Amino acid sequence: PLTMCAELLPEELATYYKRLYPTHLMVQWLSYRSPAYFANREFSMTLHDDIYLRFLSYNYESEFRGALLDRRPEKIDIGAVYSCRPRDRATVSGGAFQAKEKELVIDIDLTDYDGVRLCCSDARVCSKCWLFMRIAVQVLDRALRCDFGFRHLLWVYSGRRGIHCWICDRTARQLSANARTAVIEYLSLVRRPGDKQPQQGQQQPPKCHPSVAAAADAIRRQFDDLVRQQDLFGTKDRTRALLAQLPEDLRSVADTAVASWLADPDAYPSLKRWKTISKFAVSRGRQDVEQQLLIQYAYPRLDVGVSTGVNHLLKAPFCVHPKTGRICVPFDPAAVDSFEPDSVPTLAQLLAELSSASAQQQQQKPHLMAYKSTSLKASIELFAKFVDSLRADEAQAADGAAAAGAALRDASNGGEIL
Amino acid sequence: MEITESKGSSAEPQVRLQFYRDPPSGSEQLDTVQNLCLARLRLLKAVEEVGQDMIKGSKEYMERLKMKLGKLDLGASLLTTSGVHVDGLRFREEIRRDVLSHFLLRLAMCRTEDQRRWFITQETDLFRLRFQLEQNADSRFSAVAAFLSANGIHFDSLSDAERSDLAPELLAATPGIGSDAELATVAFYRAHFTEALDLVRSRRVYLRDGFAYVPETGVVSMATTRFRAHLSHQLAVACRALPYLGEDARLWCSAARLTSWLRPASRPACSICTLPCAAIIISGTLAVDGDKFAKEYAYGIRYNYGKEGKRADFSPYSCVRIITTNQPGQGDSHGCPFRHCGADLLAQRLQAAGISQDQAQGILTRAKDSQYQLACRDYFRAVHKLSSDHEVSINHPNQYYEESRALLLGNGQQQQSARAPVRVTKVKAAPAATAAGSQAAESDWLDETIDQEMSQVDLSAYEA
Repeated sequence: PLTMCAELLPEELATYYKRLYPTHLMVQWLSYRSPAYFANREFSMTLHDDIYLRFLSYNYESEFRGALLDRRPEKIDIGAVYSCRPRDRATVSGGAFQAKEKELVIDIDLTDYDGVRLCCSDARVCSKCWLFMRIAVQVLDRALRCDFGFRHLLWVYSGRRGIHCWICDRTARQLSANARTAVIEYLSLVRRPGDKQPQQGQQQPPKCHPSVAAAADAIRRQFDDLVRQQDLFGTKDRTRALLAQLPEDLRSVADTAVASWLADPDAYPSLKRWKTISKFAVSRGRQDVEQQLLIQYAYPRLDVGVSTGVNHLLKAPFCVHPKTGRICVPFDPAAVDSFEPDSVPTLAQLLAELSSASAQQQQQKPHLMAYKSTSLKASIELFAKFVDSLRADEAQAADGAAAAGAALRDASNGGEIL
Repeated sequence: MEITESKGSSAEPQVRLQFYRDPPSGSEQLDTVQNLCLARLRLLKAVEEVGQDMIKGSKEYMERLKMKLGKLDLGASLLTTSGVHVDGLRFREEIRRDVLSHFLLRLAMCRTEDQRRWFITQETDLFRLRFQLEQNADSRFSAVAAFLSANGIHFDSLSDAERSDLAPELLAATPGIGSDAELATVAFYRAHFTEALDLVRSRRVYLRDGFAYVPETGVVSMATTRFRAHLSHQLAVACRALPYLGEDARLWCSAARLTSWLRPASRPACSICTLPCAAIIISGTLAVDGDKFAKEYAYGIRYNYGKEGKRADFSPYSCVRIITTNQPGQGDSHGCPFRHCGADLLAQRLQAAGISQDQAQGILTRAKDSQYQLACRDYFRAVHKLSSDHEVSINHPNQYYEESRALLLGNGQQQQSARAPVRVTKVKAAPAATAAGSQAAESDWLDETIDQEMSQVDLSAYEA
């Protein structure tokens, strides 16, 4: 379990923003090579005592940095790029202030797995839970890249019990709300409790879509571990829940098998039960049933609302999680298997590293490079790599970028003229 | 009114289906405008009702929708497919009503997010139905192909080799195709996934590297997506062009009632009436398109409201100013009726407004004695059937409107709705000033009719 830190101290935050926070990279990222794009971006900040400020915006990196040092926010959220600077929104008429673009974001929270996440519940998180997140990253990363052709995905640990994905490709940023909904519905196979049902009239197609098959393949690779760790089918109720999901034609046969399991639970641990059921289904030519079960138990639960609204805000990378003190660090989806939330640095840890480092090497290292002597190094370097490849792509599409930038400027000017 | 389209000989069938790219031009009687607006509203209301009851796109849905729409004023002609032979004149008239009613309601519905969303959803559903009817129509004339090419929509088709390369995926991802043999008979198109959102949403299409591989049966979905995107964009443009009409026009009700014809740049005191549709009646032109509106009129309107140019404060003129300055000239429509109408014309108008002989005489006397504001006060009392000791003094046209509104609605009720009601101000043919408030009764009746319609429409739970 993650250690809870009592409270974020303003002085600590000030040091963090001053010496460690990758302000320059953040600005480079959110500019996409266009200063106007950054200036029209909404930020919100949560200050000490839950003071919440919306519609903040900054013209330059220096302004942004100044605000961080000044306000020492406990949390920063990133919103949409608007038709004009959000802080000037009062100077344009109501209709002219509109959210134009934003990264497509995906938010997955372990609390949405309650029901299949049996090791912990609510806000508690352990390393066993984290397997769900690994599977989620692998499944979604593949679908976003292979199916939708997105290339610039920034995966971020939320600091406690979830992950975010920022999809930063130009096409993703320009998606309409309707298109965002379509993408998210395509990616949503398991409804979270309380989610509204999929659009009427579009029943699940009977065939197995290649994307669903690929997701099931990814889950299958880790499912044995998951079954064992969570003891997914270990009790009477859990076994019953599994059997209840079998179609009619398989259920009667399964019922007889189950009688023996329940008679001698120790001889039939979770994994053995799962193997029996899945082999049974496959042997009956019902691979689809096995796939459906994999999906049902381990497919990522998406928070649809966060993804579909263009103007929806999401916590920025490199924030300090106010409850755990952990930094929201980006991670490499290809290496998600080795990512452990427990090893993510906390603010206290970083500051300790910083002070011991600066005691030793105060003269040698310039301030800007302070992060290199802390455990934040790897995360910042990963982020820098991400920003570099993004900027290289933007430069390549420079012509297009110029046109789109002009269009955006036109739009904002248009708003003011009209 | 003339609409400049539908060229081509009558021998060749023409496409009825509309993308509504070009706004109609020409002039139109306001009562026609109003009727068409209402007809379209009823039509879309029916689309909404059927969509709530039944599964969209299903056979029953289409049948029910056809049945319901067929009974409506505008519906029957919209359901007729292009292959059906119709007399050329009637054909043009039906297209004209379709296009005009669409654009009018578009303008009326562009002001709030809820209204826009509702309008887009219903229009898109209507478009989908019409597209499917055209597709299913048993006719040698391929209206769909003609429609797509006329609107510059081109979908990239897959070669046979590409199709067989992707056969397993296409087979697995495309509902309705059961075998390789069947697959070989279906044409596939490749389009960016944003073109086929409906298919993507329900996972009924193969996706790779950002491209959707759409079977020919999915073309309706792609066309519908384009239609929706186009409409959504156009509404946003119209919305941006309209804020000043939307917000400020409410204040202009009384000024507008003085107005029979709107002339931009004549004077700010009379420019706009309250019905959003009425924004189109500028210089007698039907300028419904957002872009065109933006180009040609928005500057003038912004100038008048002090947002542009020298940013002068053109707050609405008070009665004193209207009376003492800036006499209306030939063809102008502003001014105070008691000051600027001749005695004969004023008498005629008072009679038309239903003022009794005695009261009219009193008002005429006041006007003759240059007591224009007292004349106005007496008129106000007469129209609202107030006793002669009712305390009121009119110093501003807006105030006249507000007092009148307060009386007609009962105090405190006028703010009940956050949604701006759609009001129709009937425009009279006479180009000179009309007695203030003479149309109060008439237009208030119209207000209620549309408000009632709108309140039925303004429901919650609109899908994105």
